[in-house]
Amino acid sequence: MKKTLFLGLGNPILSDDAAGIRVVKEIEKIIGNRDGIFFATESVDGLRLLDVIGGYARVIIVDAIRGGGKSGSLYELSLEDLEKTIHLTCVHSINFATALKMGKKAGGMIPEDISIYGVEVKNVQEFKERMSPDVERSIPGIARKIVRKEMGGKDDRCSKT
Amino acid sequence: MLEDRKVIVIEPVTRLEGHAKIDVFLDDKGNVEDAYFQIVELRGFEEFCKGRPVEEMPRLTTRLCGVCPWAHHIASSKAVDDVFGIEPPAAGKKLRELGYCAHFLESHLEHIYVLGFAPDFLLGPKSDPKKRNVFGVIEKVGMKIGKEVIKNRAYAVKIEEMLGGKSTHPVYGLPGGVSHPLKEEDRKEVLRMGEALVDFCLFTLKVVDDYVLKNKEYLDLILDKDMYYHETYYIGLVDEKNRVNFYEGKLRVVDPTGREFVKFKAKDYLKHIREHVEPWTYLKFPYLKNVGWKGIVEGPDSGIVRAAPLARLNVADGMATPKAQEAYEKFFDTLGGKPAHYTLAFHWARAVEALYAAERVVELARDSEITDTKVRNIPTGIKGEGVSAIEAPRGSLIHHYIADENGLIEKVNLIVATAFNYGGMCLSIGKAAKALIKEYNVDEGILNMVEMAFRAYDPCLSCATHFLPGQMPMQIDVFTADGELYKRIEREI
Repeated sequence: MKKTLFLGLGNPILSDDAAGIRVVKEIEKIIGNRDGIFFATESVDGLRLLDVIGGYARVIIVDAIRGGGKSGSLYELSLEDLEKTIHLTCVHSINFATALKMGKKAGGMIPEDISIYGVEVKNVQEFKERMSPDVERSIPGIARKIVRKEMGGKDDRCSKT
Repeated sequence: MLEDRKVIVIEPVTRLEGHAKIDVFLDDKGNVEDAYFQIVELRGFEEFCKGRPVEEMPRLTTRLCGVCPWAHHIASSKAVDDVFGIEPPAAGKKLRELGYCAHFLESHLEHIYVLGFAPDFLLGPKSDPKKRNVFGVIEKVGMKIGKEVIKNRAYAVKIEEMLGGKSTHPVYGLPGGVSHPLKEEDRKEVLRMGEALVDFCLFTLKVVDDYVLKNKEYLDLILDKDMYYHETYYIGLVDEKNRVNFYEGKLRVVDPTGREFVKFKAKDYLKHIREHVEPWTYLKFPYLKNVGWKGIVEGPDSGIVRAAPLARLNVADGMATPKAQEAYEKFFDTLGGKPAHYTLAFHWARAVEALYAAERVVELARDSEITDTKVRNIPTGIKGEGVSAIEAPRGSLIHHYIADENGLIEKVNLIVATAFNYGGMCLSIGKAAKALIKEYNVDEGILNMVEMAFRAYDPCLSCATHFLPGQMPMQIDVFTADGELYKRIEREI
């Protein structure tokens, strides 16, 4: 197993913004302790993300997304789709795709293999520890889908954007 | 965040956070009557805090914003000290300042090389917006320098991490001090990185010198009084000798002529600062109570007060470290003395401050008390109310908490750094709009002019409205005197 990081992005106290974090915590419960697999949750932007993902061969990122779809839907995103996610474009400075390119140019230890998932959310404007009910309900299923997709398995029914 | 809106122009991201919408209203001749810069809101942080133990605040407030968590962490730690009526021991205080100076370095260097100064001045304001980014900068200055930027930024992050436990959301400040002392081997490492950062900040000032000050066109742009110039009051924290200090001191305000208007302790902020509410925006405008709110206007009769690097240099009598002091003197010699009202000079002031932060890291790492194991005084009682003021990279930051006898939060008030510059940003937008919209002719260059002014302030709108980190699409709507939408200029990622 390549050194792998499951990374949940979001703000744990900002309603549905916590979706990425909650999914990764659920994934951690499913996978448990396994050599070479790591889990992290962060609220960081472009360059700071490089600090987090540096040194891993493979990174699976889960972030909240507002794409106009049904709350709790899961999307698999490409680097070009990043503007749809909430944190991967957020930048005091530059977006994640740019940060990655910059890191590679500078010879940083950037993962070769990066997967990005977006969870459709509703409320990201209110400080609350609880998510919207439909987003909350979707978390276990989303976690299972990502595990099947990333760790092997047949069911990978997430929408491709 | 993604909004349902038609995208007219696809351009590289505006390198700012939050969400800006600008409405420009024309008179019946098609000239600008008013311009409004609106900011959307994130709700409920103050409410969210109520009933929580006050000692949780230094960790909760780091979640207000992914950009300046250290600033909120430090401001909050100091306000919590005040709630408990306790002062940290010398080592605790110095360690907080050390971590915080590293945060300043991270933030300022990123802004200088990636976000603001380098794209606008190394490549030039007239360069192709698609190339006016960090890759364009690297192409121009070479990969060797690009690697130095990344290396030195990483040093700052490493210091934050060594002290704060986590670089982004520190878990360091506790009531009466910090969570752990600095080990001798870590001190040596901090010193080594601090010395490298001093060299790099000196190099950065040389870059400013070579690329901007020796370029007449750019210097003229900075000194252009028609566009990037506002005569306002300034606010910033100073030490007992009126030198710039990020961590502690008194808030000093100077008037548009540079004379001291008032100097006060954080606890007295309500005697001097008020917040004005406008119906068209969620962000409040802090202003000087004893001058008064006169609208979005500049001058000695307007209470608008600007903050952040240019303001800090304007309010101070000097810098507390030798090399930064030299840079400070050159700054004002070149700009014609104090105060400097030139908005684009924020960039240069930021580079002077970065050098100060690096020198201060070295000073603190050499301080014999810094490895003292007594880093915390344990609170024994509760005072109930606490106020702190620090300097965030983006300006003065005030945290004010009221707790009950059990230390549970009853009230929270925050005046964040970017808010202090809201009035200044609105002035800049109004000036750009008036210069670039004449008799119904709307010059699309207005977007760039506004962006350049914004980037100089390095605003973090997410924090200002307690808004989440998100992209910053910028939309300028121009309305006729009849209220009809005349033109929309928009920028998305």
